[in-house]
Amino acid sequence: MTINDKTLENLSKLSKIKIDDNLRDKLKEDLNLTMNMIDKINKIDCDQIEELSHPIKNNFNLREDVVSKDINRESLQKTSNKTEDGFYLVPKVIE
Amino acid sequence: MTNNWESVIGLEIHVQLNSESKIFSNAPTKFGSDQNLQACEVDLGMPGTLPVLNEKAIEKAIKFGVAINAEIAEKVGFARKNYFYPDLPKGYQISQLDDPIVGKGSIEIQLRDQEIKTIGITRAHLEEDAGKSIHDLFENETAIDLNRAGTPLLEIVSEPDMSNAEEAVAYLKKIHSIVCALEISDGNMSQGSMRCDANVSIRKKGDEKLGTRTELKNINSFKFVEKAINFEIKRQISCLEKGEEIIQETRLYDAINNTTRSMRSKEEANDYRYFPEPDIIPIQITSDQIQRIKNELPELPDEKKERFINELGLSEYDARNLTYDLELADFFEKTLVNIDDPKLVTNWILGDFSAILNKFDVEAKDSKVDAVKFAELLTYLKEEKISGQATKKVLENIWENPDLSVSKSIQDLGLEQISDDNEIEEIIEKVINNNPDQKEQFLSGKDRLFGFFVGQVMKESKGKANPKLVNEILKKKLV
Repeated sequence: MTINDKTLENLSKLSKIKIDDNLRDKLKEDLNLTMNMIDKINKIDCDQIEELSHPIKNNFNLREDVVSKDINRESLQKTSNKTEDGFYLVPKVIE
Repeated sequence: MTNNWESVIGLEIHVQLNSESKIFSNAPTKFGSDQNLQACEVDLGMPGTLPVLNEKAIEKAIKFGVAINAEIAEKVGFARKNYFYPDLPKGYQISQLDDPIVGKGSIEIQLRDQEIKTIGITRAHLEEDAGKSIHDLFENETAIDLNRAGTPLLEIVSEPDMSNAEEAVAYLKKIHSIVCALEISDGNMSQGSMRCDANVSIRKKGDEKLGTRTELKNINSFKFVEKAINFEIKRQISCLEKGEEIIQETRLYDAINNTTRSMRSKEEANDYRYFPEPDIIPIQITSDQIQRIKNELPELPDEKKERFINELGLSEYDARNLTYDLELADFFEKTLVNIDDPKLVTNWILGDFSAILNKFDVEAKDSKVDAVKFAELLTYLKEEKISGQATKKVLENIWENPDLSVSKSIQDLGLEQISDDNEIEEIIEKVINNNPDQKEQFLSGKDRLFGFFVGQVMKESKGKANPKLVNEILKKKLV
Protein backbone atom coordinates (compact mmCIF):
# COMPACT_ATOMS: atom_id res chain seq x y z
CA MET A 1 0.00 0.00 0.00
CA THR A 2 1.26 3.47 -0.86
CA ILE A 3 0.22 6.66 0.82
CA ASN A 4 -1.02 9.12 -1.81
CA ASP A 5 -2.80 12.43 -1.41
CA LYS A 6 -6.14 10.73 -1.07
CA THR A 7 -5.08 8.37 1.73
CA LEU A 8 -3.32 11.24 3.50
CA GLU A 9 -6.53 13.24 3.32
CA ASN A 10 -8.49 10.32 4.75
CA LEU A 11 -5.97 9.87 7.58
CA SER A 12 -6.23 13.53 8.39
CA LYS A 13 -9.98 13.25 8.54
CA LEU A 14 -9.97 10.13 10.71
CA SER A 15 -7.40 11.44 13.14
CA LYS A 16 -8.97 14.92 13.22
CA ILE A 17 -5.53 16.39 12.58
CA LYS A 18 -5.23 19.20 10.08
CA ILE A 19 -2.15 18.82 7.89
CA ASP A 20 -0.22 21.91 6.79
CA ASP A 21 0.22 22.05 3.03
CA ASN A 22 4.00 22.50 3.28
CA LEU A 23 4.25 19.36 5.40
CA ARG A 24 2.32 17.10 3.05
CA ASP A 25 5.21 15.81 0.94
CA LYS A 26 7.43 15.16 3.94
CA LEU A 27 4.60 13.33 5.72
CA LYS A 28 3.83 11.24 2.67
CA GLU A 29 7.49 10.25 2.43
CA ASP A 30 7.65 9.31 6.14
CA LEU A 31 4.43 7.36 6.04
CA ASN A 32 5.54 5.48 2.94
CA LEU A 33 8.73 4.48 4.71
CA THR A 34 6.58 3.15 7.56
CA MET A 35 4.36 1.33 5.07
CA ASN A 36 7.45 -0.24 3.51
CA MET A 37 8.43 -1.63 6.85
CA ILE A 38 4.91 -2.97 7.41
CA ASP A 39 5.04 -4.59 3.99
CA LYS A 40 8.26 -6.34 5.05
CA ILE A 41 6.62 -7.55 8.27
CA ASN A 42 3.62 -8.76 6.29
CA LYS A 43 5.89 -10.98 4.20
CA ILE A 44 6.93 -13.03 7.23
CA ASP A 45 5.17 -16.37 7.27
CA CYS A 46 3.52 -16.65 10.68
CA ASP A 47 0.64 -18.98 9.85
CA GLN A 48 1.85 -21.54 12.35
CA ILE A 49 2.34 -19.06 15.16
CA GLU A 50 -0.45 -18.29 17.57
CA GLU A 51 -1.30 -14.61 17.90
CA LEU A 52 0.63 -12.73 20.49
CA SER A 53 -1.53 -9.72 21.18
CA HIS A 54 -2.10 -11.29 24.58
CA PRO A 55 0.43 -13.98 25.36
CA ILE A 56 -0.88 -14.56 28.87
CA LYS A 57 -3.89 -16.75 29.56
CA ASN A 58 -5.77 -16.35 32.79
CA ASN A 59 -9.17 -15.67 34.25
CA PHE A 60 -8.08 -13.88 37.35
CA ASN A 61 -8.70 -10.35 36.21
CA LEU A 62 -12.49 -10.43 36.45
CA ARG A 63 -14.25 -8.08 38.84
CA GLU A 64 -17.10 -8.88 41.22
CA ASP A 65 -20.28 -6.98 40.34
CA VAL A 66 -20.06 -4.53 43.22
CA VAL A 67 -20.73 -0.79 43.15
CA SER A 68 -18.41 1.61 44.86
CA LYS A 69 -19.99 4.88 45.81
CA ASP A 70 -17.10 7.30 45.85
CA ILE A 71 -17.89 9.27 42.69
CA ASN A 72 -17.14 12.91 43.31
CA ARG A 73 -18.58 14.77 40.36
CA GLU A 74 -17.26 18.13 41.44
CA SER A 75 -13.71 16.93 41.70
CA LEU A 76 -13.92 14.95 38.45
CA GLN A 77 -15.31 17.95 36.59
CA LYS A 78 -12.43 20.20 37.65
CA THR A 79 -10.39 18.96 34.71
CA SER A 80 -13.11 19.81 32.22
CA ASN A 81 -13.02 22.98 30.13
CA LYS A 82 -16.65 23.76 30.68
CA THR A 83 -19.40 22.31 32.85
CA GLU A 84 -22.79 23.54 33.88
CA ASP A 85 -25.50 22.05 36.02
CA GLY A 86 -23.53 18.80 36.25
CA PHE A 87 -23.19 18.45 32.47
CA TYR A 88 -19.97 18.48 30.50
CA LEU A 89 -20.33 21.08 27.75
CA VAL A 90 -18.76 20.74 24.32
CA PRO A 91 -19.11 22.83 21.15
CA LYS A 92 -22.48 22.16 19.54
CA VAL A 93 -22.48 18.82 17.72
CA ILE A 94 -25.00 18.87 14.92
CA GLU A 95 -26.08 15.56 13.47
CA MET B 1 -46.61 -0.49 -6.56
CA THR B 2 -46.23 -3.92 -8.09
CA ASN B 3 -45.98 -7.16 -6.27
CA ASN B 4 -42.73 -8.39 -7.81
CA TRP B 5 -40.55 -7.41 -4.87
CA GLU B 6 -39.60 -9.07 -1.65
CA SER B 7 -37.94 -7.50 1.35
CA VAL B 8 -35.10 -8.96 3.40
CA ILE B 9 -34.63 -7.80 6.98
CA GLY B 10 -32.01 -8.38 9.67
CA LEU B 11 -32.01 -6.83 13.14
CA GLU B 12 -29.28 -5.73 15.49
CA ILE B 13 -30.63 -5.53 19.01
CA HIS B 14 -28.75 -3.81 21.83
CA VAL B 15 -29.74 -5.13 25.23
CA GLN B 16 -28.54 -3.36 28.37
CA LEU B 17 -27.54 -6.02 30.87
CA ASN B 18 -28.88 -5.41 34.37
CA SER B 19 -25.69 -5.71 36.36
CA GLU B 20 -25.33 -3.48 39.41
CA SER B 21 -22.06 -1.97 38.25
CA LYS B 22 -20.71 -1.10 34.82
CA ILE B 23 -18.97 -3.53 32.51
CA PHE B 24 -15.45 -2.16 33.09
CA SER B 25 -15.80 -0.04 36.23
CA ASN B 26 -17.50 -0.18 39.62
CA ALA B 27 -19.75 2.83 38.98
CA PRO B 28 -23.50 2.14 39.36
CA THR B 29 -25.73 1.50 36.33
CA LYS B 30 -29.04 2.70 37.79
CA PHE B 31 -31.26 4.63 35.38
CA GLY B 32 -32.36 8.20 36.00
CA SER B 33 -29.79 9.52 38.44
CA ASP B 34 -28.67 13.14 38.22
CA GLN B 35 -26.27 13.81 35.32
CA ASN B 36 -22.74 12.50 35.63
CA LEU B 37 -23.15 11.25 39.19
CA GLN B 38 -22.63 7.70 37.94
CA ALA B 39 -19.62 8.33 35.74
CA CYS B 40 -16.33 7.47 37.44
CA GLU B 41 -12.73 7.99 36.27
CA VAL B 42 -12.79 4.82 34.15
CA ASP B 43 -16.05 5.79 32.41
CA LEU B 44 -14.63 9.25 31.77
CA GLY B 45 -11.52 7.79 30.14
CA MET B 46 -9.16 9.54 32.55
CA PRO B 47 -5.48 8.86 31.88
CA GLY B 48 -4.06 6.08 33.98
CA THR B 49 -7.31 4.23 34.52
CA LEU B 50 -7.76 0.65 33.37
CA PRO B 51 -10.86 -1.35 32.58
CA VAL B 52 -11.57 -4.47 34.67
CA LEU B 53 -14.22 -6.79 33.31
CA ASN B 54 -17.38 -7.44 35.35
CA GLU B 55 -17.90 -11.19 35.85
CA LYS B 56 -21.69 -10.75 35.81
CA ALA B 57 -21.60 -9.31 32.28
CA ILE B 58 -19.87 -12.50 31.10
CA GLU B 59 -22.32 -14.69 32.97
CA LYS B 60 -25.41 -12.92 31.64
CA ALA B 61 -24.13 -13.11 28.07
CA ILE B 62 -23.48 -16.85 28.44
CA LYS B 63 -26.99 -17.26 29.85
CA PHE B 64 -28.43 -15.74 26.70
CA GLY B 65 -26.23 -17.91 24.49
CA VAL B 66 -27.24 -21.09 26.30
CA ALA B 67 -30.93 -20.12 26.07
CA ILE B 68 -30.80 -19.82 22.28
CA ASN B 69 -28.73 -23.00 21.89
CA ALA B 70 -25.78 -21.06 20.56
CA GLU B 71 -22.11 -21.94 20.60
CA ILE B 72 -20.33 -20.24 23.49
CA ALA B 73 -16.78 -19.11 22.75
CA GLU B 74 -13.96 -20.74 24.67
CA LYS B 75 -11.94 -17.59 24.38
CA VAL B 76 -13.57 -14.20 24.81
CA GLY B 77 -11.48 -11.30 23.60
CA PHE B 78 -12.21 -7.60 23.36
CA ALA B 79 -11.36 -5.06 20.67
CA ARG B 80 -11.24 -1.31 20.38
CA LYS B 81 -13.67 0.28 17.98
CA ASN B 82 -12.34 3.77 17.32
CA TYR B 83 -14.59 6.69 16.56
CA PHE B 84 -14.77 10.27 17.61
CA TYR B 85 -17.83 11.58 19.39
CA PRO B 86 -18.12 13.64 22.57
CA ASP B 87 -20.25 11.07 24.42
CA LEU B 88 -17.43 8.53 24.03
CA PRO B 89 -14.67 10.11 26.12
CA LYS B 90 -11.97 7.50 25.47
CA GLY B 91 -12.25 7.96 21.70
CA TYR B 92 -12.96 4.26 21.37
CA GLN B 93 -15.61 1.82 22.46
CA ILE B 94 -14.48 -1.47 23.98
CA SER B 95 -16.39 -4.06 21.97
CA GLN B 96 -15.78 -7.49 20.46
CA LEU B 97 -14.84 -8.27 16.89
CA ASP B 98 -13.31 -11.69 16.21
CA ASP B 99 -14.15 -13.54 19.39
CA PRO B 100 -17.80 -12.80 20.24
CA ILE B 101 -18.92 -14.51 23.40
CA VAL B 102 -22.02 -15.99 21.73
CA GLY B 103 -21.80 -17.65 18.32
CA LYS B 104 -24.45 -18.99 15.96
CA GLY B 105 -27.85 -19.84 17.43
CA SER B 106 -31.51 -19.55 16.53
CA ILE B 107 -34.98 -18.87 17.89
CA GLU B 108 -38.47 -19.69 16.65
CA ILE B 109 -41.14 -17.10 16.02
CA GLN B 110 -44.82 -17.61 15.35
CA LEU B 111 -46.51 -15.75 12.55
CA ARG B 112 -50.12 -14.64 12.44
CA ASP B 113 -51.23 -17.69 10.45
CA GLN B 114 -49.79 -19.98 13.14
CA GLU B 115 -46.80 -20.81 10.96
CA ILE B 116 -43.51 -21.23 12.84
CA LYS B 117 -40.36 -19.70 11.39
CA THR B 118 -36.79 -20.16 12.57
CA ILE B 119 -34.68 -17.01 12.68
CA GLY B 120 -30.93 -17.45 12.77
CA ILE B 121 -28.78 -15.48 15.18
CA THR B 122 -25.34 -14.77 13.77
CA ARG B 123 -23.67 -13.75 17.00
CA ALA B 124 -24.07 -11.77 20.19
CA HIS B 125 -21.20 -9.78 21.63
CA LEU B 126 -20.45 -7.71 24.70
CA GLU B 127 -19.62 -4.03 24.58
CA GLU B 128 -19.94 -0.85 26.58
CA ASP B 129 -22.69 1.71 26.05
CA ALA B 130 -21.85 5.33 25.25
CA GLY B 131 -23.03 8.42 27.13
CA LYS B 132 -25.82 10.73 26.03
CA SER B 133 -25.52 13.96 24.06
CA ILE B 134 -28.27 16.47 24.62
CA HIS B 135 -28.39 19.05 21.86
CA ASP B 136 -31.33 21.23 22.84
CA LEU B 137 -30.50 22.13 26.43
CA PHE B 138 -27.97 24.88 25.82
CA GLU B 139 -27.98 27.33 22.95
CA ASN B 140 -24.41 27.07 21.73
CA GLU B 141 -23.22 23.87 23.33
CA THR B 142 -24.02 20.20 23.45
CA ALA B 143 -24.49 18.87 26.99
CA ILE B 144 -22.90 15.52 27.80
CA ASP B 145 -24.21 13.12 30.43
CA LEU B 146 -21.93 10.13 30.87
CA ASN B 147 -24.04 8.19 33.36
CA ARG B 148 -24.85 5.60 30.69
CA ALA B 149 -21.22 5.32 29.51
CA GLY B 150 -19.89 1.87 30.34
CA THR B 151 -23.26 0.19 30.91
CA PRO B 152 -22.88 -3.39 29.68
CA LEU B 153 -24.56 -4.10 26.36
CA LEU B 154 -25.18 -7.37 24.59
CA GLU B 155 -25.52 -6.74 20.86
CA ILE B 156 -27.55 -9.51 19.26
CA VAL B 157 -27.14 -9.74 15.49
CA SER B 158 -29.67 -11.74 13.48
CA GLU B 159 -29.29 -13.36 10.08
CA PRO B 160 -31.25 -11.59 7.30
CA ASP B 161 -34.01 -14.17 7.81
CA MET B 162 -37.05 -11.94 8.16
CA SER B 163 -39.14 -11.01 5.16
CA ASN B 164 -41.51 -8.38 6.51
CA ALA B 165 -42.13 -5.99 9.38
CA GLU B 166 -44.47 -8.42 11.14
CA GLU B 167 -41.73 -11.04 11.37
CA ALA B 168 -39.25 -8.44 12.61
CA VAL B 169 -41.66 -7.44 15.39
CA ALA B 170 -42.30 -11.08 16.32
CA TYR B 171 -38.53 -11.67 16.48
CA LEU B 172 -37.93 -8.58 18.61
CA LYS B 173 -40.75 -9.59 20.97
CA LYS B 174 -39.30 -13.08 21.27
CA ILE B 175 -35.84 -11.76 22.13
CA HIS B 176 -37.50 -9.40 24.60
CA SER B 177 -39.36 -12.24 26.31
CA ILE B 178 -36.19 -14.36 26.48
CA VAL B 179 -34.00 -11.65 28.05
CA CYS B 180 -36.79 -10.86 30.52
CA ALA B 181 -37.27 -14.53 31.43
CA LEU B 182 -33.52 -14.89 31.94
CA GLU B 183 -33.59 -11.71 34.04
CA ILE B 184 -30.47 -10.45 32.28
CA SER B 185 -32.13 -7.13 31.36
CA ASP B 186 -35.19 -5.20 32.46
CA GLY B 187 -36.13 -4.98 28.77
CA ASN B 188 -37.54 -1.50 29.22
CA MET B 189 -37.62 -0.11 25.69
CA SER B 190 -38.82 3.37 26.61
CA GLN B 191 -35.80 3.80 28.91
CA GLY B 192 -33.48 2.48 26.21
CA SER B 193 -32.70 -0.86 27.89
CA MET B 194 -33.45 -2.48 24.55
CA ARG B 195 -32.75 -0.68 21.27
CA CYS B 196 -32.90 -1.88 17.74
CA ASP B 197 -31.36 -1.15 14.33
CA ALA B 198 -32.87 -2.75 11.24
CA ASN B 199 -31.09 -3.65 8.00
CA VAL B 200 -33.56 -3.55 5.14
CA SER B 201 -33.09 -4.47 1.48
CA ILE B 202 -35.35 -5.25 -1.47
CA ARG B 203 -34.89 -7.73 -4.30
CA LYS B 204 -36.94 -9.11 -7.19
CA LYS B 205 -38.94 -12.15 -6.12
CA GLY B 206 -36.89 -15.28 -6.76
CA ASP B 207 -33.55 -13.46 -6.90
CA GLU B 208 -30.78 -15.15 -4.96
CA LYS B 209 -28.64 -12.09 -4.56
CA LEU B 210 -29.46 -9.59 -1.80
CA GLY B 211 -30.22 -6.02 -2.81
CA THR B 212 -28.33 -3.01 -1.46
CA ARG B 213 -29.31 -2.47 2.15
CA THR B 214 -29.93 0.53 4.32
CA GLU B 215 -29.54 0.54 8.07
CA LEU B 216 -32.33 2.12 10.12
CA LYS B 217 -31.28 3.56 13.45
CA ASN B 218 -33.07 4.94 16.44
CA ILE B 219 -35.98 2.55 16.78
CA ASN B 220 -37.16 2.24 20.36
CA SER B 221 -40.54 0.55 20.43
CA PHE B 222 -42.25 -2.48 18.90
CA LYS B 223 -44.64 -0.16 17.12
CA PHE B 224 -41.86 1.93 15.59
CA VAL B 225 -40.00 -1.15 14.33
CA GLU B 226 -43.03 -2.07 12.28
CA LYS B 227 -43.64 1.47 11.05
CA ALA B 228 -39.99 2.22 10.24
CA ILE B 229 -39.50 -1.01 8.29
CA ASN B 230 -42.77 -0.63 6.38
CA PHE B 231 -41.89 2.92 5.46
CA GLU B 232 -38.40 1.92 4.32
CA ILE B 233 -39.68 -1.02 2.23
CA LYS B 234 -42.11 1.29 0.43
CA ARG B 235 -39.43 3.91 -0.10
CA GLN B 236 -36.97 1.43 -1.57
CA ILE B 237 -39.55 -0.19 -3.86
CA SER B 238 -40.67 3.17 -5.14
CA CYS B 239 -37.00 4.11 -5.81
CA LEU B 240 -36.38 0.86 -7.68
CA GLU B 241 -39.55 1.20 -9.72
CA LYS B 242 -38.48 4.68 -10.77
CA GLY B 243 -35.23 3.12 -11.95
CA GLU B 244 -33.21 4.74 -9.17
CA GLU B 245 -30.47 2.95 -7.29
CA ILE B 246 -30.58 2.26 -3.56
CA ILE B 247 -27.63 3.86 -1.81
CA GLN B 248 -26.02 1.91 1.00
CA GLU B 249 -26.44 4.26 3.93
CA THR B 250 -27.54 4.73 7.50
CA ARG B 251 -30.98 6.25 7.87
CA LEU B 252 -32.57 7.71 10.94
CA TYR B 253 -36.18 6.85 11.77
CA ASP B 254 -38.25 9.90 12.59
CA ALA B 255 -41.18 8.71 14.69
CA ILE B 256 -42.97 12.03 14.68
CA ASN B 257 -43.26 12.25 10.90
CA ASN B 258 -43.12 8.45 10.29
CA THR B 259 -40.32 8.76 7.79
CA THR B 260 -36.66 7.84 7.44
CA ARG B 261 -33.94 10.23 6.42
CA SER B 262 -30.35 9.81 5.39
CA MET B 263 -27.79 10.08 8.18
CA ARG B 264 -24.57 9.10 6.44
CA SER B 265 -23.65 7.19 3.31
CA LYS B 266 -21.11 4.42 2.97
CA GLU B 267 -18.46 6.79 1.61
CA GLU B 268 -18.67 8.77 4.80
CA ALA B 269 -18.95 5.63 6.90
CA ASN B 270 -16.52 5.39 9.77
CA ASP B 271 -13.40 3.37 9.47
CA TYR B 272 -13.37 2.00 12.99
CA ARG B 273 -9.78 0.75 12.89
CA TYR B 274 -10.53 -2.17 15.18
CA PHE B 275 -7.62 -3.68 17.03
CA PRO B 276 -7.30 -6.05 20.01
CA GLU B 277 -7.91 -4.26 23.32
CA PRO B 278 -4.50 -4.31 24.98
CA ASP B 279 -5.87 -3.55 28.44
CA ILE B 280 -8.02 -6.66 28.72
CA ILE B 281 -6.55 -10.12 28.57
CA PRO B 282 -8.88 -12.53 26.76
CA ILE B 283 -10.71 -14.73 29.21
CA GLN B 284 -11.29 -18.46 28.96
CA ILE B 285 -14.77 -19.88 29.38
CA THR B 286 -14.79 -23.43 30.73
CA SER B 287 -17.34 -26.10 29.90
CA ASP B 288 -18.02 -26.42 33.65
CA GLN B 289 -19.05 -22.79 33.78
CA ILE B 290 -21.37 -23.23 30.79
CA GLN B 291 -22.87 -26.38 32.31
CA ARG B 292 -23.48 -24.64 35.62
CA ILE B 293 -25.31 -21.77 33.90
CA LYS B 294 -27.29 -24.27 31.83
CA ASN B 295 -28.42 -26.06 34.98
CA GLU B 296 -29.54 -22.80 36.56
CA LEU B 297 -31.58 -21.57 33.57
CA PRO B 298 -35.09 -20.47 34.52
CA GLU B 299 -38.15 -21.61 32.57
CA LEU B 300 -37.95 -20.05 29.10
CA PRO B 301 -40.98 -18.66 27.24
CA ASP B 302 -41.15 -21.68 24.91
CA GLU B 303 -41.02 -24.10 27.85
CA LYS B 304 -43.68 -22.12 29.67
CA LYS B 305 -45.80 -22.25 26.54
CA GLU B 306 -45.46 -26.04 26.33
CA ARG B 307 -46.41 -26.37 29.99
CA PHE B 308 -49.50 -24.21 29.48
CA ILE B 309 -50.52 -26.44 26.56
CA ASN B 310 -49.73 -29.81 28.14
CA GLU B 311 -50.64 -29.21 31.75
CA LEU B 312 -53.35 -26.56 31.54
CA GLY B 313 -54.93 -27.58 28.24
CA LEU B 314 -54.56 -24.19 26.55
CA SER B 315 -54.51 -23.89 22.77
CA GLU B 316 -51.17 -23.25 21.08
CA TYR B 317 -52.43 -19.80 20.08
CA ASP B 318 -53.48 -18.76 23.60
CA ALA B 319 -50.37 -20.22 25.21
CA ARG B 320 -48.12 -18.31 22.83
CA ASN B 321 -49.94 -15.04 23.32
CA LEU B 322 -49.78 -15.41 27.10
CA THR B 323 -46.06 -16.17 27.09
CA TYR B 324 -45.07 -13.30 24.79
CA ASP B 325 -45.45 -11.03 27.79
CA LEU B 326 -44.04 -12.79 30.83
CA GLU B 327 -45.70 -10.40 33.25
CA LEU B 328 -49.02 -11.35 31.73
CA ALA B 329 -48.11 -15.05 32.05
CA ASP B 330 -47.17 -14.42 35.66
CA PHE B 331 -50.48 -12.67 36.35
CA PHE B 332 -52.25 -15.60 34.70
CA GLU B 333 -50.56 -18.12 36.98
CA LYS B 334 -51.21 -16.02 40.07
CA THR B 335 -54.90 -15.80 39.13
CA LEU B 336 -55.08 -19.56 38.70
CA VAL B 337 -54.09 -20.03 42.34
CA ASN B 338 -57.59 -18.90 43.32
CA ILE B 339 -59.70 -20.09 40.42
CA ASP B 340 -59.12 -23.38 38.68
CA ASP B 341 -60.34 -22.59 35.20
CA PRO B 342 -57.39 -21.92 32.86
CA LYS B 343 -59.52 -21.44 29.77
CA LEU B 344 -61.81 -18.86 31.37
CA VAL B 345 -58.87 -16.99 32.93
CA THR B 346 -56.99 -17.03 29.60
CA ASN B 347 -59.94 -15.58 27.72
CA TRP B 348 -60.33 -12.75 30.18
CA ILE B 349 -56.62 -12.01 30.47
CA LEU B 350 -56.06 -11.92 26.71
CA GLY B 351 -59.34 -10.07 26.20
CA ASP B 352 -60.70 -7.45 28.55
CA PHE B 353 -57.80 -7.46 31.01
CA SER B 354 -55.23 -6.82 28.25
CA ALA B 355 -57.52 -4.17 26.80
CA ILE B 356 -57.66 -2.29 30.08
CA LEU B 357 -53.85 -2.56 30.51
CA ASN B 358 -53.42 -1.10 27.03
CA LYS B 359 -55.96 1.60 27.66
CA PHE B 360 -54.10 2.86 30.71
CA ASP B 361 -50.67 1.92 29.35
CA VAL B 362 -49.82 -0.19 32.39
CA GLU B 363 -47.81 -3.41 32.66
CA ALA B 364 -49.52 -6.45 34.16
CA LYS B 365 -47.33 -6.28 37.27
CA ASP B 366 -48.62 -2.76 37.99
CA SER B 367 -52.26 -3.67 37.43
CA LYS B 368 -54.71 -1.76 39.61
CA VAL B 369 -56.62 -5.03 40.04
CA ASP B 370 -54.37 -7.70 41.55
CA ALA B 371 -54.52 -11.39 40.71
CA VAL B 372 -56.46 -12.27 43.87
CA LYS B 373 -59.20 -9.75 43.16
CA PHE B 374 -59.26 -10.73 39.51
CA ALA B 375 -59.75 -14.38 40.46
CA GLU B 376 -62.57 -13.36 42.79
CA LEU B 377 -64.27 -11.45 39.99
CA LEU B 378 -64.01 -14.38 37.60
CA THR B 379 -65.38 -16.70 40.28
CA TYR B 380 -68.57 -14.60 40.38
CA LEU B 381 -68.81 -15.08 36.62
CA LYS B 382 -68.04 -18.79 36.74
CA GLU B 383 -70.69 -19.35 39.40
CA GLU B 384 -73.13 -17.41 37.24
CA LYS B 385 -73.68 -14.75 39.85
CA ILE B 386 -72.93 -12.08 37.27
CA SER B 387 -73.02 -12.06 33.47
CA GLY B 388 -70.05 -11.58 31.15
CA GLN B 389 -71.19 -8.07 30.36
CA ALA B 390 -71.46 -7.30 34.05
CA THR B 391 -67.99 -8.76 34.69
CA LYS B 392 -66.57 -6.27 32.24
CA LYS B 393 -68.30 -3.37 33.98
CA VAL B 394 -67.12 -4.50 37.41
CA LEU B 395 -63.55 -4.90 36.13
CA GLU B 396 -63.57 -1.29 34.95
CA ASN B 397 -65.19 -0.16 38.18
CA ILE B 398 -62.69 -1.85 40.52
CA TRP B 399 -59.82 -0.70 38.29
CA GLU B 400 -60.89 2.90 38.71
CA ASN B 401 -61.66 2.45 42.41
CA PRO B 402 -58.87 0.26 43.81
CA ASP B 403 -60.32 0.33 47.32
CA LEU B 404 -63.63 -1.11 46.20
CA SER B 405 -64.20 -4.83 46.79
CA VAL B 406 -65.66 -6.99 44.06
CA SER B 407 -68.88 -7.68 45.95
CA LYS B 408 -69.36 -4.00 46.82
CA SER B 409 -68.82 -3.03 43.19
CA ILE B 410 -71.40 -5.56 41.99
CA GLN B 411 -73.81 -4.21 44.58
CA ASP B 412 -73.12 -0.56 43.74
CA LEU B 413 -73.62 -1.16 40.04
CA GLY B 414 -76.71 -3.32 40.69
CA LEU B 415 -75.33 -6.13 38.58
CA GLU B 416 -76.17 -9.26 40.53
CA GLN B 417 -77.36 -11.76 38.02
CA ILE B 418 -81.06 -12.61 38.06
CA SER B 419 -81.21 -16.37 38.48
CA ASP B 420 -84.71 -16.47 39.81
CA ASP B 421 -86.93 -18.49 37.42
CA ASN B 422 -90.05 -16.53 38.20
CA GLU B 423 -88.45 -13.18 37.70
CA ILE B 424 -86.96 -14.25 34.36
CA GLU B 425 -90.25 -15.76 33.27
CA GLU B 426 -91.94 -12.47 33.93
CA ILE B 427 -89.47 -10.57 31.76
CA ILE B 428 -89.77 -13.15 29.00
CA GLU B 429 -93.53 -12.97 28.96
CA LYS B 430 -93.37 -9.22 28.74
CA VAL B 431 -90.96 -9.37 25.79
CA ILE B 432 -93.07 -11.98 23.95
CA ASN B 433 -96.24 -9.94 24.46
CA ASN B 434 -94.55 -6.82 23.16
CA ASN B 435 -93.42 -8.56 19.97
CA PRO B 436 -96.36 -10.58 18.61
CA ASP B 437 -95.23 -10.29 14.96
CA GLN B 438 -91.79 -11.75 15.73
CA LYS B 439 -93.42 -14.55 17.71
CA GLU B 440 -95.62 -15.49 14.77
CA GLN B 441 -92.67 -15.43 12.35
CA PHE B 442 -90.66 -17.58 14.74
CA LEU B 443 -93.45 -20.12 15.03
CA SER B 444 -93.77 -20.28 11.25
CA GLY B 445 -90.15 -21.42 11.03
CA LYS B 446 -87.90 -18.35 11.24
CA ASP B 447 -85.53 -19.91 13.82
CA ARG B 448 -83.10 -17.07 13.65
CA LEU B 449 -85.51 -14.91 15.62
CA PHE B 450 -84.67 -16.85 18.77
CA GLY B 451 -81.57 -14.70 19.11
CA PHE B 452 -83.71 -11.60 18.79
CA PHE B 453 -85.78 -12.67 21.79
CA VAL B 454 -82.69 -13.49 23.86
CA GLY B 455 -81.31 -10.05 23.06
CA GLN B 456 -84.56 -8.31 24.02
CA VAL B 457 -84.76 -10.19 27.32
CA MET B 458 -81.15 -9.32 28.17
CA LYS B 459 -81.84 -5.70 27.30
CA GLU B 460 -85.00 -5.65 29.39
CA SER B 461 -83.07 -7.10 32.37
CA LYS B 462 -80.25 -4.59 31.84
CA GLY B 463 -77.84 -7.46 31.16
CA LYS B 464 -78.54 -9.04 34.52
CA ALA B 465 -80.58 -12.11 33.51
CA ASN B 466 -78.73 -15.41 33.63
CA PRO B 467 -78.32 -16.19 29.90
CA LYS B 468 -78.50 -19.96 30.44
CA LEU B 469 -81.85 -19.70 32.20
CA VAL B 470 -83.11 -17.21 29.64
CA ASN B 471 -82.37 -19.73 26.90
CA GLU B 472 -84.06 -22.58 28.73
CA ILE B 473 -87.21 -20.70 29.68
CA LEU B 474 -87.49 -18.93 26.35
CA LYS B 475 -87.43 -22.29 24.56
CA LYS B 476 -90.39 -23.47 26.62
CA LYS B 477 -92.34 -20.22 26.32
CA LEU B 478 -91.99 -19.82 22.60
CA VAL B 479 -93.46 -23.19 21.67
